[in-house]
Amino acid sequence: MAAPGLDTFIQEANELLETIGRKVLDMDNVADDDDDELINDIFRTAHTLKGSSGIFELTGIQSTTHILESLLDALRHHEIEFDPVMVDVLLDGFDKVKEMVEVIEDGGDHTEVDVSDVIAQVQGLLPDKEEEEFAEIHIAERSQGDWLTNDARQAAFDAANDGDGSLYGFVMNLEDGIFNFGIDPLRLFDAVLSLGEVLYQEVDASGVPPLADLDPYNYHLQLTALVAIPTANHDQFIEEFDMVAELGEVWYFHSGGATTMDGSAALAVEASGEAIEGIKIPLGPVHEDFLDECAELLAEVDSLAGDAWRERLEGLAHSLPAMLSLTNPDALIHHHAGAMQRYIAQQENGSADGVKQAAVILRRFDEALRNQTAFAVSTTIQSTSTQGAAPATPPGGDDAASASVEGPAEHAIHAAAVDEGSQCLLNIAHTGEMFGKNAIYLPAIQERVGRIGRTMAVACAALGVRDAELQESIAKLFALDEDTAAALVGGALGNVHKALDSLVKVMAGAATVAPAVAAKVEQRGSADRRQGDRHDEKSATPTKRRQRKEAVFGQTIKIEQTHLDQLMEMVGEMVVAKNALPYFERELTTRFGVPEAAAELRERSAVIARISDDLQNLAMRMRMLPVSHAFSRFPRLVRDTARKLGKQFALEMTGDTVMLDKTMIEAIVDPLIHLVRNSMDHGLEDPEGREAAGKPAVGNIHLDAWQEGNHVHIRVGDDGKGIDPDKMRISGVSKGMITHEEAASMSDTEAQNLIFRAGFSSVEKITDLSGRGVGMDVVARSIANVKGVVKMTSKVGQGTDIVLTLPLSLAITKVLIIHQEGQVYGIPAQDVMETISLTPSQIGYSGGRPIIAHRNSVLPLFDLSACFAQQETTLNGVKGEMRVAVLQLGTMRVGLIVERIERDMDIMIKPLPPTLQDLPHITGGSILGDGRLLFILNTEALLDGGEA
Amino acid sequence: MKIDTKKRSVSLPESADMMMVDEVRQALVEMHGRSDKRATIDFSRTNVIDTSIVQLVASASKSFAGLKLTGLDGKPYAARLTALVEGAV
Repeated sequence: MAAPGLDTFIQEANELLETIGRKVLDMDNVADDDDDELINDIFRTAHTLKGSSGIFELTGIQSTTHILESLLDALRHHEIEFDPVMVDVLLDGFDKVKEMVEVIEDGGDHTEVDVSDVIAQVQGLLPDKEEEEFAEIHIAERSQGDWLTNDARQAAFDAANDGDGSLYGFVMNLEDGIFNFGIDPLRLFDAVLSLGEVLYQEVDASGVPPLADLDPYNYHLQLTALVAIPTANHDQFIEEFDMVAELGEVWYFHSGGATTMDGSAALAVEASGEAIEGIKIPLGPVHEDFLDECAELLAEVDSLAGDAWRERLEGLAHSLPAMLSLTNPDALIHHHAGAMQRYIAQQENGSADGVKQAAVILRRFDEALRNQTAFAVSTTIQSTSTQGAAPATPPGGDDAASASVEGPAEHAIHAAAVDEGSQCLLNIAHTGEMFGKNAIYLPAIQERVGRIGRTMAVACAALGVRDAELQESIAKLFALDEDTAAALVGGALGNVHKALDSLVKVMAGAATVAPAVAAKVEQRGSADRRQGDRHDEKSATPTKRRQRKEAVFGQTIKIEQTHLDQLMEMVGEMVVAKNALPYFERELTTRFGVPEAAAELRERSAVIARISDDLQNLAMRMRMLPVSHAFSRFPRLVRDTARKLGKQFALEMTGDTVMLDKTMIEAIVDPLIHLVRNSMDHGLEDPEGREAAGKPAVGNIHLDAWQEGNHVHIRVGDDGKGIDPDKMRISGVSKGMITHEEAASMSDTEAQNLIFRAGFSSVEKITDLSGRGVGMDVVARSIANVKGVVKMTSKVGQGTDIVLTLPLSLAITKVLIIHQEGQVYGIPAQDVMETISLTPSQIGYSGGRPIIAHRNSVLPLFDLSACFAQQETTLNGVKGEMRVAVLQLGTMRVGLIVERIERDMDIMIKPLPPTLQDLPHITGGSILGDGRLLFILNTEALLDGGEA
Repeated sequence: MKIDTKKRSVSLPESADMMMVDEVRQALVEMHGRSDKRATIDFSRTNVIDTSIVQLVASASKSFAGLKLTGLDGKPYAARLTALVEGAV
């Protein structure tokens, strides 16, 4: 049975992968200044995906994402230069992850997806660090001499019976911020010891400072042991350390000589001893600005007089509460900032002599924040705490909440709150990852999530955003106890993550902060305004502007599509029921003789009709999605195809916010892919060909969408060589599709439209992209299936435009009601160009077929009854006026003669019962308001028969 | 958690971990401010401790001339804490 919440994970993973794919493509285009932010953004999204997969123990996704993260990590830390090939590698890699998600969705084993190419490609880009990066764990094997450093260890080793070579000595030297990851090192230590017989253990507390200097949230121990581990537990010995991968140095010796463990462990290299990057948390704009202030102040330490310098220091103190309130309490920066705040508070009341000392502390603080390493300021704080200093503000909690309103300008609060939300997301992802590895237990999860909840409460209060859903999901997590099944804990954690994700999106879309905040911000002094201005400048980078523009999120809930379908169906039923009211109103007058009641009903009907229309529009809007859902894949497609064909393309997309019914979007994806591929493969020339034709080497492809009335138009255009009508004529004749005579009499447009005939291909070379002769006719048919129309215009040497015209929705259709032989029929209104009246004198004949001259062209006429009978139309003996519906069918325009035309009407088309489904002329049915059955005509099939 | 400043002792709860470690530290720092001679940490109610508490004990043992740990009988972490306080490891 699938784990609870796995469906949600799959949905979320697909969304994350789509986001990653879009942003990776942006790596090619953004300016250098924005690269870091973009790469950080991709890294965070990938990290969230890795964390979520950890909750469900999806090791394949975890490890593959981790490998790709390594590349992103190296890029964001400028360890390697950006190379366009990295975009390909990342795209390929995340494609593999997507494949894994699909396998999971199908109930298969995702670890069977082969990612060896991805690993090799990433390794190739990180030549200097390949082994370190891809070791599954960061542990190193050393000689036993490194371990035997004192008599006690030597004695334990000598006393051990190591006949079978199972003796392991190890040293755990973990990062001082390890608690921030919810990891309890001694718990891990004991877990490793439990694997065998403990011969020696050492908890080295020499690095633990005395109480006054102790930061209890930093780790100071070094753990060492000698254990005889049975061969069967060797792999587990390594795996236990997996939970601290990248969070410190673990090394071991194995008395049996070369390790017998699997190859992944053997890949490990000795840790460099450098600061571990994994615990760094990206700084938000508030923090960055604060650090800039620190840097400026430090630069002026020698030039400013004591009082002036202290005044500037006090200025910094104004920024600290906001920074604290908007900082994730899990981040080291929070602790540092808290310490700094206490220190500055004391300096305000201290002597001028403290300035020099303040400079020293500030410099250390600045360095610590920039590097996010620990530093000890507490000695100074404690030693001055008796000088009547202002009480320290505890990190987080209510004080922090009130402090938030004293923060910098509102936009900075907004940006910082969103940034903190993102960091909390990252933190929860980390937590999920650790939980997936059994590396963290429920109380630690609850503690971390609780703190995140408090942080978000402060940030939400600053923005005036409700965080009830998050707090509710956190409360549910807190309701669990340690006996709860892991899957339920994972599910609850997943729900917290989901709620936080939604909240961050809402926060990103929140345009203003709470009025109270804005008012207090307004009251701030000029110094803070200057700082606010600086924030404004900084936050208005192109990337920020783009992100804010894109961040059009609202409060959303996810609804199963079947529910929407049902709603739409019921709305359709209501529309039909509403249509009955005018009939009843007429009956009241003509049959029952109560016109007063009819008038009353008319008034009521108008209200019901208005509500019904509103409801119908709302239900239709609920099914609408932006066309970007179809367009989003094309940047990747165009990029990949360009490489494959050795051509150069520039894709420009407009109107991707135009809305279309979800069913329609799903239906047009494949046709659009084919059209774009056709443009790239056949329409656009190679660079040499374009230059020879006097065009830029880069071919242009346009993908545009716009709405007109109840229709959406999507244009696929290129500035390629166009379609040569003469070649089309030759090809048509050679394939036996048309005769020489027909070819000669065809207009250029008609010849070009041969491309829509089944089996037609003017291209000699068949590629794997297009040109198999099954393309354009399938495109036309697919679009016709969703009641759409394809229209093409092409000019030789200038390019081709293909426009798809689609109804906004398939659910409710407008039809023209007609009468024929006592039966009521509906013609889809999109097929009807106009209705006209004819007299026999206007009718001429061509080849025995009736025609009329209409709007400067010849219009063939078909009689509906003759079409039903599959007979040719003859109008001999017809007298009086005839009613004609002028229909546009593909590229052809015809006149359909009917007995009576009533009016147009919105209806919901229902499929016919099985016994009637073989009727080719009828596509469906509906019930009219007076209870009559309405058949919907399939005009194309009808006229094919009529023509025959 | 129970703090008795007169007796200079801190009695830890059933589960002692990072949630209250700073509170314990502050209590001990306060005691240390008055006198660095002795302090007691009582584990009689405590079944589970985490690394932060172990570190705190190690730190306290460096700060007080006589740090006394009580209630350790039968506790799985007794040997480790005793060794730390006695400086055996």
